[in-house]
Amino acid sequence: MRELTVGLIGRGDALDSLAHAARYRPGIRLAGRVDPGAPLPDADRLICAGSSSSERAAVVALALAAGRRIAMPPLLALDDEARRALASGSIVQVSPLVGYAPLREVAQRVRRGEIGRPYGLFALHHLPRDAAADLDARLADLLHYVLEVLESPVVRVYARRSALFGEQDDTWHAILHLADETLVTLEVAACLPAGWPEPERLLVEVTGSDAVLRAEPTRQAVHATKRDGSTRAVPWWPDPSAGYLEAALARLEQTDPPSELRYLEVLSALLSAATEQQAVRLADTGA
Amino acid sequence: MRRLRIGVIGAGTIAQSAHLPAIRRLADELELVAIADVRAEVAADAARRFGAEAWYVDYRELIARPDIDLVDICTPEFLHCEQAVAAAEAGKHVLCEKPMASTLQEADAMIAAARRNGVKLMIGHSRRFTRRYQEVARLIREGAVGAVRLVRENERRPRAMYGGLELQVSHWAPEGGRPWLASAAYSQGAALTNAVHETDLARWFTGSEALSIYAAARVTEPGGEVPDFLTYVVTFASGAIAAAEIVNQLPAGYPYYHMLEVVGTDGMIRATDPPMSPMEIWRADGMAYPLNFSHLLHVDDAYLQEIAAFARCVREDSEPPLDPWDARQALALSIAAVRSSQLGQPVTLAAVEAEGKGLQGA
Ligand SMILES: NC(=O)c1ccc[n+]([C@@H]2O[C@H](COP(=O)([O-])OP(=O)(O)OC[C@H]3O[C@@H](n4cnc5c(N)ncnc54)[C@H](O)[C@@H]3O)[C@@H](O)[C@H]2O)c1
Repeated sequence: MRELTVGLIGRGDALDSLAHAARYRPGIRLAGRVDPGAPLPDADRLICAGSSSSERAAVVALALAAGRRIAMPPLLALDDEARRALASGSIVQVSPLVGYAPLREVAQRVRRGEIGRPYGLFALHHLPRDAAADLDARLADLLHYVLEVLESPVVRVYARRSALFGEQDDTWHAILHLADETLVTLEVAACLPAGWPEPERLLVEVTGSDAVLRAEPTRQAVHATKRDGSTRAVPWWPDPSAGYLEAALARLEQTDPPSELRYLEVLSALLSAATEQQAVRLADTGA
Repeated sequence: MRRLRIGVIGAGTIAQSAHLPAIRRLADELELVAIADVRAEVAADAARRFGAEAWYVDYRELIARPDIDLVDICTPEFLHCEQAVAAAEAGKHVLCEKPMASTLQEADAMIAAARRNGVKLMIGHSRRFTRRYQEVARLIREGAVGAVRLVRENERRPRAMYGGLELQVSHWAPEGGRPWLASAAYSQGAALTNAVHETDLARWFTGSEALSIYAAARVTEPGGEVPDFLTYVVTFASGAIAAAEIVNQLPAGYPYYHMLEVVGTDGMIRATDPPMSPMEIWRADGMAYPLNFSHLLHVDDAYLQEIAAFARCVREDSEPPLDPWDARQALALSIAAVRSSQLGQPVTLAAVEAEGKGLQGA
């Protein structure tokens, strides 16, 4: 059987990691890797690493123009182009967070009903302060993941986007009310000060009547205290790129991918809640 | 040193698990004279076990005793104002459990009564006397993290919170109905029951007054009446944000758990139960936390410190370490959380104050 060829789109470390994962994934061959602005590689499957906001925006236009289907991290733009790309299936979204095995496990167990009646989902992503430029991308990744874990429609949202540590917005707080009364609390903050031992912190905790599931994938680290007394946590958590690649390939196989409009509606509501500093009720769109 | 003579009003869960044992340990300074509780058998039993010479069903008999210097009020919050004001009018110094009261008007009446009668009033925000939080406050005060910009404190409780403790008393259930804490007629739920700790810590750590809050609450227990789940985001005048998620009805076996992170301009403090509990046991049927209850913050020295600090200020005629105004402001923020969760919109503290004055609400 002919090997499946995969073309990758992206830049920097995220693209390097994804290329590494693709190279060692049996059954596929890496056909090329390109910058988001460049012509798309000739490959059976196209996957965008897209860790930054700007890369994601560039890829939507590319997919529509080329009439190709691309798997990529969740969109941040809410324009007509984004809607068209999602509605037509040109873009299939995959949260990079599903690359983390513990987070995939949480999602599966919740969907299997292991927690009983869900009470709430608390998720926190703390990043270094210099990650503020991609704050919205990190919120989008988390939101997309959460909406895959919990299927109940979102009926109301509240959000705050604040500049707590510098000029630029660096913190998102969001509360989502779901139709089944589950309350989702999100905190995404580029808040870790220089010298903080951990490179990032990711925590997801789902509470329910029968069980609580807690995943903290970034806890897998070597902690070293140096002669000067400073401590560093050097991650040895498995590179999430391999898991992301797998999820992207699977999503691209689906002939009838799930509607992503729910995600767009909720993201749009979060953005307007943050602007208006009010809670926003979602139209009865099934979001 | 003459021992101060103390009377305890309300001999329920918190009194028997924390206050009365602390008073016993402070025997050099305090003499437990009397206990009052509407449940006669509870009052009598507590008096016998903790060594009080008298017990009453009517708290007014306790405060009428001229030989009592101070009272410690451990009743439900809707009784705090009536009992604290009566005690102050009788010239007793008053230590009173949190939340300060059920409404801001009651809180203000308590402050006024203490002032009018020249007695000390302190609200037992026990976390202010808990080492973990005192250490965090000290670091902030010393400038270790610069200006505080973000405070996150999550609190989680298993369903049977007192399961690990051999308590000889249960919560008061008025008229034989459900326990007052679970009854909408007596309790406003998690926002006052436990979040008043978080709202107090947020003010303490940010050193600022809250401007507004958005809160979402729900009842998770089937047939439950009062919210047992709360999540909120508060904006402070300094620009700082404080957020909390409080879940009170988790499956047994989940440890009583606190996660605190304080992020400042120049650094960050984490004070979290690491990773969940000081002891874990894995068995065929899963994992257990046998020292679960030891995480209850009040089984350490917090209450001893709290009561000793209050006794000291009575003896030395100094200001209590915690100004009742702070407790009143923490209550205001908790009440704002209740209002916001009912309205489904952010609520300003100014609106909550106006509501209290009979003006238009939020
Ligand atoms: N600082 C903390 O962390 C903390 C912890 C738990 C409780 N508390 C506070 O302590 C207070 C009591 O809570 P609890 O859990 O002990 O409740 P509880 O029901 O266990 O105890 C309250 C006691 O008050 C008695 N009582 C009721 N009406 C009375 C009256 N008119 N006169 C005298 N006694 C009366 C009841 O019989 C009962 O024994 C509440 O305000 C609660 O918020 C504080």
